[in-house]
Amino acid sequence: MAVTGADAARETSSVRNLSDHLRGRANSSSSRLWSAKIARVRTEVEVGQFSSQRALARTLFSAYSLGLNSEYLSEALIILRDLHGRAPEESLAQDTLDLGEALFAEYRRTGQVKHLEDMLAIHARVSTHRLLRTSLDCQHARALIARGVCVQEHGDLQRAKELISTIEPRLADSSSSQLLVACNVYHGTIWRDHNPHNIEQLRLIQDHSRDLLNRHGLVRWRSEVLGCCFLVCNAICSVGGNPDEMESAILTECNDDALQTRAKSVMDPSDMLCSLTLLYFNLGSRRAEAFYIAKAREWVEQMSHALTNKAMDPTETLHSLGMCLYVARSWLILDDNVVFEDTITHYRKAIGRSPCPHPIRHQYLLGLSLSLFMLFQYTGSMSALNEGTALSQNFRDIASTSPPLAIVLARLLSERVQAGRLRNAAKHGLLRRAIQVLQSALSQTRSGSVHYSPLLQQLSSVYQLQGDLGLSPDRAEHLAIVRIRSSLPFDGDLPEQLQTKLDLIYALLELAREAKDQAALQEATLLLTDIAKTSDVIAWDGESIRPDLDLLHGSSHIIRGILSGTTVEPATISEMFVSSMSDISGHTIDHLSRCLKWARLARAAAEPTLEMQAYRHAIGLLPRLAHLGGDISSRLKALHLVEGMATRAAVLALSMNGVCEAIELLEQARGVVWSQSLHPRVSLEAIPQDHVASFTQATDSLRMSSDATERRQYAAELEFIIGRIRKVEGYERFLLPCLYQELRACAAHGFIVLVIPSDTATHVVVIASPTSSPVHLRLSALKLGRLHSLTANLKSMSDRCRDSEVEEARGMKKVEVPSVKAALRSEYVDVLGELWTELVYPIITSVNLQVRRLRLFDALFSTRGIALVRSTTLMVVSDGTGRRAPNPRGRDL
Amino acid sequence: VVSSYTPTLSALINAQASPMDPIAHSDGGILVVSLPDVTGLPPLPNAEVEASVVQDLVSAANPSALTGERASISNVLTQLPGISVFHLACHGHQSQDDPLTSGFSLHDGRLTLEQLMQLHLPNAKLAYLSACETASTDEYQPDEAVNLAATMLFVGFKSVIATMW
Repeated sequence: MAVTGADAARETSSVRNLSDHLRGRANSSSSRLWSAKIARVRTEVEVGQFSSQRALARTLFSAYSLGLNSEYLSEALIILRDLHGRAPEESLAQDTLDLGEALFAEYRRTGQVKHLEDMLAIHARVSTHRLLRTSLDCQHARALIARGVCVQEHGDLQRAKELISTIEPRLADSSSSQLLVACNVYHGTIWRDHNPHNIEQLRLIQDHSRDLLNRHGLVRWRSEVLGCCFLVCNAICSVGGNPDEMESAILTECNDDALQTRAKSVMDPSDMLCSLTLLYFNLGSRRAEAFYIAKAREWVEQMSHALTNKAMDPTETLHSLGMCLYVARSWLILDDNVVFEDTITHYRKAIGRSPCPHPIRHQYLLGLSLSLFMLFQYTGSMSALNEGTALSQNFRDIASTSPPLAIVLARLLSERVQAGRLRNAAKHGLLRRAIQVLQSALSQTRSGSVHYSPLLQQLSSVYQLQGDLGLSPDRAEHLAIVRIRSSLPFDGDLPEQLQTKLDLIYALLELAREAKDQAALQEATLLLTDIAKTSDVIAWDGESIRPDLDLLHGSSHIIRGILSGTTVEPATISEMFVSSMSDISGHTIDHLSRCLKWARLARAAAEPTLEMQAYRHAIGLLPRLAHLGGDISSRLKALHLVEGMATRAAVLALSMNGVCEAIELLEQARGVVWSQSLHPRVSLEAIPQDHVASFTQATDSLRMSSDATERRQYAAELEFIIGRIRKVEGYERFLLPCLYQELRACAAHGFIVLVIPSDTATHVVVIASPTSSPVHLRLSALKLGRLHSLTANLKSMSDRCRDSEVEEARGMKKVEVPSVKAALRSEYVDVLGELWTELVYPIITSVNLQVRRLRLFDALFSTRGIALVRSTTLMVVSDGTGRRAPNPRGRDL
Repeated sequence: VVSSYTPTLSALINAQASPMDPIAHSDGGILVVSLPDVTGLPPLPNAEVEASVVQDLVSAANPSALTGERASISNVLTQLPGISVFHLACHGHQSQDDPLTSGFSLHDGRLTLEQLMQLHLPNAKLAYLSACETASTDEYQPDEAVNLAATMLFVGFKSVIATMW
């Protein structure tokens, strides 16, 4: 049946009336009522008749838009596609618009980019249409922005920007709200990509947004435009703008009663309100003004609470809560995790309630997972980390086909591995999973894509991490990846390029060392020479890259020496190390990480002096971990970075005949948490009389304060007071790490035995008395692996014995205890015998102890037999004088 | 001969700083806590017997005993500052994920290491931790030992008897 343009227009009008009518009643309609209405429209459909089919499609779309069955959208799409495929020229633009809206809705529902690409394709088929051109262009800009954001194609964003600039002049004749929406989405996107180099562009966007608002004065869009203004203001200030600008923005833009009312009611959390809250926070933190921070906190808490309790569309709730999460994380930098944790709780509940389909749900789960990781990074909360890792399982399949998600997932898994508390097999498993996801995404990514280089870089980082953890990475593949990366141009702005180059040089140097690859060394040297030219003027986030460059220069020198078999001049390397460590700007964690890299490098080059220097420096940095966060949890988390360092440093000191230094290093590196916590509890007698009051006041204030800003002030005051106390004669070492001369006092009441297992041998240090020199024993036959094995055996035996005793006592099972014990006895004899021969006996003979009596097996199977066994393992010694000889060890086996 | 363990040499020096005289009545009370049954955990049939034996041994010192519902977190935390000897017979747990959440399973929940760390007990002398894993560490833990025994030393007990299984 032929349909004319006039018919189509009339039909469109009538269908709109019907749809509007239905939409108007939708709020009070049940889904059953809607089903009935759709059924009624369906009966009017005649095959091939455009008007009735459009009516049905639009009714279905309206029903879906009001939150009803997603099948309505699927059916609407089928009809609209059919209509669009055979639409006459006159109605093509309108059909394209309708289909575009439905496709956009389908994209939002499923998260599949192909629907956006469909949209862009159908737009391309429509020739210029005077009436609907602006609407079509706006829809096209929206699709470009969505695709650009989704797949991180900057080209799409650029095209959207150009398109918007051509639409704007037409606004004089039109009050297209769609354009405003598109503009704001675009501005928000640009804001996310902000950096110090496009600050001027940000200012232009801000002016432009205000201009749009003033010219059109659309009350309905006011909050959206203001939201964009505030976001831009935040962005400008975050890249170095004047905080006065923020206050000015608040004062000028919020001078509106309606806006104030809306902000205060916090019942409709919008982009505007979230960005205004962020503005308050940023202003407060930049100026250290508690008023603004408190105001922002009040708002974000009220918003997330209101959202949780408000009966609104679950997906909209999630979107708004996502914005609240973005704002709430700001408090983490103030060491206040309560706001963020509460918002995460609301977000988690909202996801649980949301009926949104899987692809969309996964995006929210990803947001939750990222937030949990961030919480872990700031607070060291292992439960947050574990939950985040568990959640990441949900979006593994999607990540394989989406490069940005693959990169995020790989980062999350790497973080989990670096957080420690995993067996090597588990670490290996997580990193393998990261590699698989990245490889899968890489296989579907063209080399010209913007994702190509980031994917390679992330893959390289995972391989690097494998190597750092001693997990045997696939070196051939890693080398191939690094080589491809080095052949690619460096994208991004200058600091980003710089960071990429630093990472690449480090990867090349590691490969050169591991694979003895001269070419990799040469490539690294070339890049290093190139980067050194610009390094004086460039800093990354305000932190100098000079220490990194020193490290890389030192590495290249050492590796060149290793590869050529020549000796490197130690003074030169030492100079680079000192230079690298002298820059105290930046984060303590970065300094520690650099120290450990130096130590590893020095070990590879067999430079024990340099390695020792690196350890000493790293251990000296440990007390600074106390400033990372207010609680012990964060210090514990940071300590994972230096896991095993105390032992390595002590073993190295022992190999250099520094027994006293080994004891000092062990004590210092293994007492960070307790030492820092003990500071406030120092005995008043240990403080000069004149300083007791000020010291007590400062420690009390620090202990009782929960406000991060206050804590920093009190910590600085305490440091100052401690400094003054150290100037008093006799108190020069007040609260400084103990020297051996002080530590040896611990042997006043008996021998002290320190057992230090390592991969190559077990080292034992015996301090017989405060006046005698410490004795070092190297027990080559007993290596760390063997001790782990013996410990596992002992645990298994004690578990079996305990279980049998418990069951016997409960009368649940008749156990022939003697037979169980007889079997265990034989195993105990083996394990304890080995420990005796390899560990205990050498110790007691070295200090001239005499074995008086061995009563192990008398004790074995008494009521609390196992307890005795475990505590008897190392105690059957006596000094022969009748004096009790407690033998405290620093660490269990 | 009895060997002892210490988390750090400084902790031992601190413990030795004040003389370890025999515990006297004037030093403070004795608190005995026992929990043979906690929901969700295997029963400890001998915990009550153990507590009873200890109470009989120190009956002259008029020990305080907490068991069942009275062995709650708040009751224990309230009584600890006034005592010199603490005997505890219950389930213990060393958390592999977050050592700060390690603790003793009491009637109304876990008395965690983090809660215990807040205490300051200058008069405390001896803690007998008859519970699992009170001095154990795990292989993932960094060099520093953060366990219940170390915490007891930290808060002020001069001697701690703890378990490594």
